[in-house]
Amino acid sequence: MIKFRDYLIIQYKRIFKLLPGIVAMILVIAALLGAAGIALMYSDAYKEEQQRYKLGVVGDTDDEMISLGVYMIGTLDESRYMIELVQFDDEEAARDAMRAAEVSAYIVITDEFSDALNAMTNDKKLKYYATSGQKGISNVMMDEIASIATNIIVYSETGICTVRQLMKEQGYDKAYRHEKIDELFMVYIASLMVRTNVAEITELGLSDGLSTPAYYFSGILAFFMMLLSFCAISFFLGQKNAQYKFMSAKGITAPYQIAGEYIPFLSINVLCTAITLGVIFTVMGMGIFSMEEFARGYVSDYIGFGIKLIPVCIMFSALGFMIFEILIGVINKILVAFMLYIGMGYVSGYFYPKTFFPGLVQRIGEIIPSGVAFRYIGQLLTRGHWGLSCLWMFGYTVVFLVVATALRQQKIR
Amino acid sequence: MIEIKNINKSYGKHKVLKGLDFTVEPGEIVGILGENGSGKSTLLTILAGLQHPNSGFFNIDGKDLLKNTKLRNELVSYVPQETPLITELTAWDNLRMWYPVDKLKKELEGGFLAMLGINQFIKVPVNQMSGGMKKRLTIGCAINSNPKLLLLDEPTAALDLVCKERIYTYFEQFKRQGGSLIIATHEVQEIELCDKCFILKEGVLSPYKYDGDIPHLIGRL
Repeated sequence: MIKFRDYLIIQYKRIFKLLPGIVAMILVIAALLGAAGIALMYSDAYKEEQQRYKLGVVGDTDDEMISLGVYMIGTLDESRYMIELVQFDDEEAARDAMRAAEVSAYIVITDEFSDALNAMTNDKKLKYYATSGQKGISNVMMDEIASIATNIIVYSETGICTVRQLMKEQGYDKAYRHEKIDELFMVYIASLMVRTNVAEITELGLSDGLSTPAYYFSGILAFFMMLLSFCAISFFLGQKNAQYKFMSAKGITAPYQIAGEYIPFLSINVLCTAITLGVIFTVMGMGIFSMEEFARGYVSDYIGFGIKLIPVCIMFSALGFMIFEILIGVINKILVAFMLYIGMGYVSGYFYPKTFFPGLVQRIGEIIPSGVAFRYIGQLLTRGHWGLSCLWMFGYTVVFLVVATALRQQKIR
Repeated sequence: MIEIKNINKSYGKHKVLKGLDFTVEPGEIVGILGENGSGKSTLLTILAGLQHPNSGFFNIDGKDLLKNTKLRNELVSYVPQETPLITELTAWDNLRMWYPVDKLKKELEGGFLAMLGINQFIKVPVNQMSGGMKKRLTIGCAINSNPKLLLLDEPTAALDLVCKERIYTYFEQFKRQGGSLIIATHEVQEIELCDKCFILKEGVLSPYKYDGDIPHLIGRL
């Protein structure tokens, strides 16, 4: 009677026949994700003033208060690291610049706003314009910038104007008022200068204590490992119901079939992950990019990290296996799997810090398999407690394989 | 002797097989005729152990094969209509899964596998084979355990005459050695090959003697 071992061997033979195609797909995806990863890791280069958000300013900046505010935003405040103010003569020029992506948004300081400021009525708002296509980080950043500008220009200067007006109403003479207002200005500017020193920016990372490179490394690595099953899609192509029936009639029942196919599939995924990690760590060793989590540079750290990634491989392989067992047809398998992986990666924060999403989406993103894997990789990098995440992944793996077995049983019948 | 008794099978409220009874003697070919969807394949998959009947018995020499899975896997082989082969691999690789190397070489030199002509394309990958080659290879894989009963679901559908003839020759040889065959078929040549035939209609099996009158056969289906 046929043994399980023979079925396993034949599936290994099969997958090794398909290996060149699988490796070619992996190389393409690894190259694309590598490029995307490097771009993400180095996208926070605003400190070097290479990627500041440009905010257009249109309108009456001759007012001494407003010009002071604009000057302070552009030169003194911490926001100067993120914002570059660009002055435009008219709104049309600002709009053209925004459409040409030369500025991210623009603020219009109307005459009414200046008048309201001087009259201390404070009932006119700045007009903030952004393109409707702006989503995500840029949009959030621009909202923040507008808020900073509004606070500094409106509230601070209104306070000084109020004092000036009060002094006038109380009958202080002009020379005395000017002297005191100048003193107040100096105190105000001094306090803003101090504000620059109040906060020292230390980058603690984007999530769970990870540095920014480690965060994106985790995201890209998890996404890559998820896509590995997609690369081996050729292993799942073709109508094989007759094969499943034949095997079952010969004693290789559904659970044995699943095990006999899953193990070679997993082996290839583990092998490809190991090779890819080898390349990544070699690149890190050459100093092309670095992460403080691997700052010690011990080979044992790299090897330990690689070995501990095996549970992720096991879970993602089981997920891929189940998806390909559910779906019928080449186009279906490719399209649905890819869209599902992109969606899962997105809500789990692989590409954007997940804090940008609403609370419910964040929670979902954390508990789905992609989120659990992401958290687990993060815990490995920060040397945190990864036991619970590992248990979650084990649970998911069991569920995926049980579902795949049930589906196979259904096909056999 | 092979006994099939009171086999019933329903999918929900739909009764596909209603108390099927028949026997197959050693060295006998039994044909199951019927329209598409009449339940022929369902019957074969039940006998192959792929599905459970709602009730019934399937015995060979008094041994209950519906309960004894291991024995059934040895005594009964099933050849599905579509190819069950692993298409990326060669004929040798596919056969190697079912045969020890020594037995495989022996069979290819002068046994049943040689009779099926498999030795002529032993190194050819399945995805480069013709339909006839695939069918012969499938039968070759199926008979590895020297089964007493071979279940074949439309074994020569869409094959050329030469290939059909080769397979029929093998059936005759299998018969002569005491093996039995149950064939679900639409092919007149296969019907002629059968020692007895049954028509499966609306879940009920009734004996049919083919006398070359095709219009009459069509009328019965």
